[in-house]
Amino acid sequence: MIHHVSIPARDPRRVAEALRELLNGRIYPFPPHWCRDAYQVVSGDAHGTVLEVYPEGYWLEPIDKIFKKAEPAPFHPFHMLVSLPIEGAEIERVATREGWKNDFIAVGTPGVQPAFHCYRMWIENRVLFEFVPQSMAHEYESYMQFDRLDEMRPKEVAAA
Amino acid sequence: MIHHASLPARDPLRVATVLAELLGGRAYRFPLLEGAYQVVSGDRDGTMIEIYPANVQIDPEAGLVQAKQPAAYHPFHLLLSLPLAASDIERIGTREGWRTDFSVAGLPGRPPAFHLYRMWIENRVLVECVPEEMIGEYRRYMQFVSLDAIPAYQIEPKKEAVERAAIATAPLGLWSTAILATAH
Repeated sequence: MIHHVSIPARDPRRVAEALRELLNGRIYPFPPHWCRDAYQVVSGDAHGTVLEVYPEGYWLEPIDKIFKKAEPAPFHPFHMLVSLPIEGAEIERVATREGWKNDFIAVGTPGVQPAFHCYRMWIENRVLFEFVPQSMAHEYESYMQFDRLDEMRPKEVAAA
Repeated sequence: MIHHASLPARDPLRVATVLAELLGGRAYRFPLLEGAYQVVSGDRDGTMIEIYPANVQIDPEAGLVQAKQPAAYHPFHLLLSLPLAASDIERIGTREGWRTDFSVAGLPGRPPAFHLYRMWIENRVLVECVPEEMIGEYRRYMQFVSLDAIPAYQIEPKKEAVERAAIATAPLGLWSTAILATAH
């Protein structure tokens, strides 16, 4: 199980507030002896699901202090899919208010039955989150299983 | 709940194979990107980790694109609970030659919050690993009741509000300081 993930933000407090609204959680400061102006968005779920938001211009390096100042990258290879305790209309409202690109999409290989549906929201128009209302999460959960993938994946690879 | 995440690797198949071992799962080809893999855990939440070749970036306009120069390190990391014993995590980290430290998370001067392994995939991407039998400690700590009881976790008012208040109440000579602080 994935319990927490960290992302960078140009405006960490603003991003943390928006993620708090999406997760219906609370925000706390990240321990400042590691990194100042960073936040933890705590979901309150039983797993301790947390999204950490770091200020732009740091990366994590295998050195004792871990946080090191660095030039920010324009885009990243990271993204995550998170299920949320709110419905699609609220997800759309947050993205519109923030001015963040947000599309409702079918995920899958062209020509093959869609795997699942999600919102692709680009935090600060840069970092990709895929969001699924909890009421729709069963579609993703039932797709991402060995038996289903063993059946579907060869077709998807062939169609790609 | 976080269901999946993607991360980069110099050797995606090797990293996918090792993550499959850590998660007790299976690696699948990712059909939409040559050389990319999905490590599927098999749990009922559909927990999955995608591994992309090292120079791939996700662009809001162009999708998955090749960057000219991959970043040396990243601001992203994740914490996973694993169906393995601590000794297995150490053995896998050692075998791969990846820095793996057993660490205590928490605030200075307070009891430890939780324990974890910090494993640096390809000595570059941080994945925090906790054996499932130890994850109760993390789950209990990352709750409102536990965090609300720690003074250091109480959040300050919004920065802009503080700055506005500082400007409104500052004697004239402090204006430049307040403006400089805002500019930074």
